[in-house]
Amino acid sequence: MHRTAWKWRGTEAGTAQLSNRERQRRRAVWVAKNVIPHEPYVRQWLRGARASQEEIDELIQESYCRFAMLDAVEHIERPDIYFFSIVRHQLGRLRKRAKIVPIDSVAAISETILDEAPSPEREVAGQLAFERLKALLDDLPERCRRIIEMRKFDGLSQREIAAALGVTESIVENNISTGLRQIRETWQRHEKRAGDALDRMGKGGRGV
Amino acid sequence: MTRSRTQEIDELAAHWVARMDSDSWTDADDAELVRWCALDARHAGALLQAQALWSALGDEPAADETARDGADDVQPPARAIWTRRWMLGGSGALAASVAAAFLFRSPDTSYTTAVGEIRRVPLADGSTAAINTDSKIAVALAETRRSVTLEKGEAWFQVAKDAKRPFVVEAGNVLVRAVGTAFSVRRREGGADVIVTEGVVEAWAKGADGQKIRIAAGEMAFIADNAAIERGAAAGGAPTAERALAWRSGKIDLAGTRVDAAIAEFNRYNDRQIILRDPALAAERVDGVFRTDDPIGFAQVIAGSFDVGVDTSNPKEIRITGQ
Repeated sequence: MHRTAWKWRGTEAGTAQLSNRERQRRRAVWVAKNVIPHEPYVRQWLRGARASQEEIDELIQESYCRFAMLDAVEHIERPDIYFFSIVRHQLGRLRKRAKIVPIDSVAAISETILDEAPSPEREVAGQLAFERLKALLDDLPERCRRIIEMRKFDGLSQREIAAALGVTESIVENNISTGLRQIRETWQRHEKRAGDALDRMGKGGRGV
Repeated sequence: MTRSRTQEIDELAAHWVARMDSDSWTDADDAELVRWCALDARHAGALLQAQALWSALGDEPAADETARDGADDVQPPARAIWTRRWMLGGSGALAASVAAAFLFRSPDTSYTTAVGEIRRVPLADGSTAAINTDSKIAVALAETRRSVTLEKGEAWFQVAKDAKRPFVVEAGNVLVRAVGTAFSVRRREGGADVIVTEGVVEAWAKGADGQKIRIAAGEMAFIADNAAIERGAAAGGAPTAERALAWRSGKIDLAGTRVDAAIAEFNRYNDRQIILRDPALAAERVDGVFRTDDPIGFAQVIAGSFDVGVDTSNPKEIRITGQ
């Protein structure tokens, strides 16, 4: 039962008294800090394991589901390992269903990801991921970008933004929703592009 | 799952995040959110991902603070982790040695651990030693020097600062000297591993005083009896110092570790030895954090990961059988 130490210890203090919104937000802050930065590496590894883009999206989404379903996350000692283990486990199940077991893809793990974990380089990469995420704001429609910047960087509430811009609060809310969706799509596309480039490099290398 | 369905979920998740961020969140919204999450297992995951991206866009200092309130040990000081892990360590042997640790000890004494036992002992100078499985240390605290002899095995020391009395660990032919710092020494065939978690230590082989090397926090090195030095290396190939020292909390922390090296680690802690019957597996890699006293759990993970069997019919062995 206590096979792995990434199981949390203790319980989330006072969870019962928290609103769902507050509970969700705390979880999200933790995930932003501990999971999101590792996502590019996990995606990269999945590509190395020859998972299709669809499989990758599905596996990543499933792993976020797992993080969402846990009673508490703060006691996970190594979120990167935990994240990676979920994905690998799910990939294994997928492959079992497909009756294909590419052993060499399993062996490649350490080289691509875990030998470095959690090296300063990866921390830097996590920072870069955030920088890139912020850069995606530039691609948003003008009002959308402005509203998100006011909310995120100027620290105004949605109500204050609505008053400042002379629009309704629901317009502010909708703009945030639209902007967030677009950022997320572009973020995933970016990751895919980076991965495609890596794949090409790999193929070129083998060809020579 | 079709792309459009995934996109639809993502879209709804973004709506929820924007709504949660608003100033007009109500109890009804709260209840509706719970219902929505219950509709489809993917909803909660999509919501969490969107919300985390939203959170990542800005620092949200207030949010950070609440997160800390909610989980007081997300990033506590190293010593606090230490204590808590120790107390929650679990196994009976561990608990017993914690009790023993508080008994008074004379300044010149030796400590031994059995296979699987991990012990923490406070030394009279205020330092602390954590002694790993199947190990023996002898401690002599003199006025000008604090000496520890590692007769076998491995130990980690949190050294109390005392510039007048250097703290020297002798492991066979290898010497490690610290003033106030934390480090571990493990005796191996032909030398010793030194891993530093705080500060800096000097290490050298007897008779090669001119070849002292400095090892800083986060670094590890193998010092051979013949004074050869291999930096960045430690048995088992643990990639970081902290991971290599997971044993202090009764854990084995594997990250891309070779299966044969991982098995050797488990076998240090258990009389019941893991035997690998399928040599093809030796070079595979494993990851995860395990309890030192749970070799069966580890073997089962190997079996599940590589589609091999585990034979536990012999109480003295755990056999990992071929495919």
